[in-house]
Amino acid sequence: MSVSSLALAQTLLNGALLGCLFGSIALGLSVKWGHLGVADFFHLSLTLLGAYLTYSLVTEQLWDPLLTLLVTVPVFFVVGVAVQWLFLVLRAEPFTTLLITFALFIVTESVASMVWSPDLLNLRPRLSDGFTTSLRFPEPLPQLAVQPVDLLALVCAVLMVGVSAWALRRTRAGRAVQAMRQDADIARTLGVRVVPITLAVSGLAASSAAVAGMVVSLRMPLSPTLPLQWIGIVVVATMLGGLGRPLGALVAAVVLMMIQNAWSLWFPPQWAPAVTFGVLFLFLAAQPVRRFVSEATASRRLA
Amino acid sequence: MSLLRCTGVTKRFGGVAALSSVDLAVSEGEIVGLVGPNGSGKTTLLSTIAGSLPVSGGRVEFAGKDLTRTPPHQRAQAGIARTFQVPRPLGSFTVAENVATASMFGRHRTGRVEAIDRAHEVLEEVGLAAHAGAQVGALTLHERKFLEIARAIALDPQLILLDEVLGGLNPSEVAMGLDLISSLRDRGMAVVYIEHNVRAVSSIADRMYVLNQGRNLADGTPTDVLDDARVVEAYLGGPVDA
Amino acid sequence: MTPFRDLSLWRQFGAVVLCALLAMALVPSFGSDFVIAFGFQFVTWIGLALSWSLFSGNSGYASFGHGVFFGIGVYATAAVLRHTDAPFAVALVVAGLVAAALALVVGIAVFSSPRFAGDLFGMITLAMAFIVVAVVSNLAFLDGGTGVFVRELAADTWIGESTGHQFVVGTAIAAATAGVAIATSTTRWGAALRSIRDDEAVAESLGVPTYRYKVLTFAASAGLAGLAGAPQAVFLGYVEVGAVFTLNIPLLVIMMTILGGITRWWGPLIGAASVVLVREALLDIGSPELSQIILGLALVVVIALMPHGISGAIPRRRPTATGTTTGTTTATTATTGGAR
Repeated sequence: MSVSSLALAQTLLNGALLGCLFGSIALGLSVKWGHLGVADFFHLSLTLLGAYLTYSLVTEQLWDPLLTLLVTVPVFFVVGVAVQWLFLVLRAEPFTTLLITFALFIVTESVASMVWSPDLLNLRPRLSDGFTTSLRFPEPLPQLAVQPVDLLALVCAVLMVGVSAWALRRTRAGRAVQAMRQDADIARTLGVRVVPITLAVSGLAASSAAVAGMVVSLRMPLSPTLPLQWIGIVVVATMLGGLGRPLGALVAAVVLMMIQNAWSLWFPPQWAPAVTFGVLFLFLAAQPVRRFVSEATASRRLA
Repeated sequence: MSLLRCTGVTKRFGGVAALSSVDLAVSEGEIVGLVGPNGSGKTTLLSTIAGSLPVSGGRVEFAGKDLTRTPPHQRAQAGIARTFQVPRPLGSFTVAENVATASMFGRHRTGRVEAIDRAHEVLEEVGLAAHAGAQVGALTLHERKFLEIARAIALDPQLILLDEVLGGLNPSEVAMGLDLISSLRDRGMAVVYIEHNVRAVSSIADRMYVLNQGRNLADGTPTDVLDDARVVEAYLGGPVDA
Repeated sequence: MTPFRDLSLWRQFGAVVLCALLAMALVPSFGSDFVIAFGFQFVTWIGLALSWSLFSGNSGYASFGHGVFFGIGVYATAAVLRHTDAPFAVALVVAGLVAAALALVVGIAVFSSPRFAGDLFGMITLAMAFIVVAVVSNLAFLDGGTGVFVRELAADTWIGESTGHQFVVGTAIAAATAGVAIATSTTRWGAALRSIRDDEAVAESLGVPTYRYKVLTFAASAGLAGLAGAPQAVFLGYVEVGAVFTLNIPLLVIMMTILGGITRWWGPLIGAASVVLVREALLDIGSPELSQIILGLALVVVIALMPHGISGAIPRRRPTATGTTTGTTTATTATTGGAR
C-alpha cells in the first residue's frame, strides 16, 4: 500500500501536535516524579477533571474556554497543594504514596462517571467556528491543514514546558528544587525551605493539569476512562525524556505520537498503543548500552 | 598472591571522576587501612569492590577471578562482605534475623535453623547476644554499628570491607571495635578498613593506602605513610590542593 | 515478620487444609444458592488478596495489574473451552501459565532497570491493563469485542454442572494460595522478599539475589491470580472485557491487603472477609460508582489511620509489644531510604 507524501506529512504533523498535548500532561508527572519522588497517577485524573470542568463551564455557563482557566488554575493549585500536604502529614513512603494516588485515581474515575455520566461528551459542536475551522498552510508550503485547537495545544505545551524548563535551570527556586531531589538534608542545611517548595511544585503541577485539561476538552470527546488510555504514552514519554526533565518529555511525546500515527497508516490502528510499549521495552533493554555509551563519551570528553 | 586486586579502577558520575585509575591490593589475612580526606573516593572505591556501583573502567579481581561485572549478591556469596557507613539494619527483622539472613544467603547458604544458631554465635562474639531477640529500632548507635559487623561476619567472608564502622563512637567503644577487627584477622579474614580517624586505623593496620581526590596518593606501612610529606599535605591542606 | 520460626508451620498448613475441606464438604451440600455463590466469590477474593500480597505485600513493590492476571486467567479458560475439547483441568493450568508468563516478561524488563524501582513498576502494571484489554478485544479467538458464552461451553463438564463444584475448585485454589503464603512467611524465600522490602541494597550485600526473587515471585503471584480466574469464567457464564478487566480488582485487593495488614500471612485473609462484607452492604446503595468512591476514600483513610492493618494491630505472642512498634517505624524509614 502506498501512501502519498502529503498524507504522510499530514499524519506526522497531526501526531506531533497531539504529542504536544501529551507533553503538557507529562509535564506535571515528570516534575513531580523526578523532583518530588511522587509517581502521581492522580495527575492524569486531575487533567481529566480539568477537561470536564471546562466542558461544564462552557456548556452551562457559556464561558469562553480560555476564560475557564481563571477558575480552574487556582482551584487546581489548591488541590495539588492539599494532596502533597497529605503525603507530608502521613510521612508516606513511596509504597503508600503510590497506593494513595491509585485510590484517588479510581475515585476520580467514579466521580466523573457519576457527575458527568459514563457516556462520551463532546464539546466540539458547542464551539465557535474559530475553534473548529481548520487552517491551511500558506501557498508555497505543502497544502497541510491544522486545527486551531492543535495550535492551542502547541502554544500551551511550548509555554508551560518552556517556562518550567527555564525555571528549573535558571531560577533560584528551580535550582533549590533540583538540589532537594539530590539530597533533601543537604538542601535543608543550605537554607532551602523544603516544605513550602514541595507544596508549591505540587500545586503548579496541578495547575498545569488544569491547562492541559482545557485543551483536552476542546480536542477529544470526554469519557471517565481517558486517563487509562493516556497513562501508557505519558509514562513512556516521561521516562524517555528523563525524569524531571519536562522538555525531554515533550520531545519524547511528540516523537512517540508521530511514530504511532505513522504506524496507523500501514498497520491496523488498534495496535498503535502497543507501539508505545514496544518503544518502552526497547528503552529498558537499552539501559546498559546507554550507560556504556554515556560513560564512553564522558571519558572522551575528559581525555 | 593477592586476595583482592583492583587495577585502574575508575568511576565517573556524569562527567565528574570520583575515582581515577585507582590500584589496591589486599593479601589474605591482612588489615589494610584506607584513608583520605573527605570526598577522596574511599566509600566509592569500597562500593565498586562490593559491586553496588558499576565501575567506568578498570578491573576488580578477587581470589583469582574477575568480578568486575559481577552483581553484588554474587560477590557476597564469593566471600566479600561490606558494612554501611550509616548503619542500615533490616527494619522489620529482629537483630538475630538480620544476622541470620547473611548466613542464609552468604557463602555457605545454610538452612534457617542453622542460620539462627550461627547468628547467636556471631552476636555473642560482637557482644550483642543480649539483644538477639530485640527489634533493631531499639539499638543504640554503637550497637547498630556492631550489628553491621556481625552481619558481615555471618556471611563467612574472606574479605570484609568496613566503612567508618567506628565513627561517632566513644573511646571505650572504639577500643572494643579495634579489638574485634584485629580478631577478624586472627582467624584469617582480610579487612579493608576505611576510617576518617587515621590514628585508629594506623594502630591496627598492616598496610595503608591513602586516596586523595580520587587518586592513589601513597601506600605502605602505617609509619611510612604517616611520615609521607604528601600525605601530611593532603590532610592539612597545603598549596597543592588549595 | 518472623521468617525464621517454623514451629507452627505444619500446624498452620493443617488448619488451612482442614478449613478448606470442611468448607468444600459443607457449603455445597447445605448452603442455599445465595450462600454458595457468595462463598465462591469470597474464596476467589481470598485467593486474589493472598496472591497480591505474596509479591507486593512481601516485597513492597505495589502492582496495579492484578486484575489483568485474573482477567487473563478468565479469558484463557474461555478460549481453551471454546477451541478445544480439553477438560477444565487443562484450562486451569493454561490460565495459570499464561498469566505467569506475562508477569515473567514484564518483570524481566521492568526490574532490569533499578533506577526506576517501585514507581515505574506501579505505572507499568497499570498501563499494562490498557494494553491487555486492547489485545483481548481485538483478537477474535479470545474475544474480538463480542464476549464469550462460557456457560454453554462448560454445560456438560463437571465444573459447569453446579455452582457448588465451582466453589470446590475456588476453595482449593484459595487454599493452595494460602499454603504458598504460609510458606513465604517462614522460609528463605519469605526472608529474601522481606529483606528486599526493608532495604534492597542491603539485601544484595547480604547475598540475596534480589532480581531473581522479584521476577519469579511476581510471576508466581500472577500465576495464582490466573488460576483464580479459571473457575470465575465458568461462574460468570458470559465473559466480556468491560466486566472482567476492571480496576475494581486491584483496588479491592489492595484494600483487603492493607486493611488486613501485610506483616502476617493471614492479614489479607481477614482483610478479604471485611471488604467482602462491606461491599455487600454497599450494594444496597444501588450505585456502583458511589460504592467505588466510598471504597477508594476508605483505602486512603485506612492507609492514614491503620498503616499496619488489622493483623498488625494484634499483639504477638512474643513479648515485644513495644519493640514491634519501634521496629516497624524503622522499617518505614528504611524502605523510604532504600527505594529512593
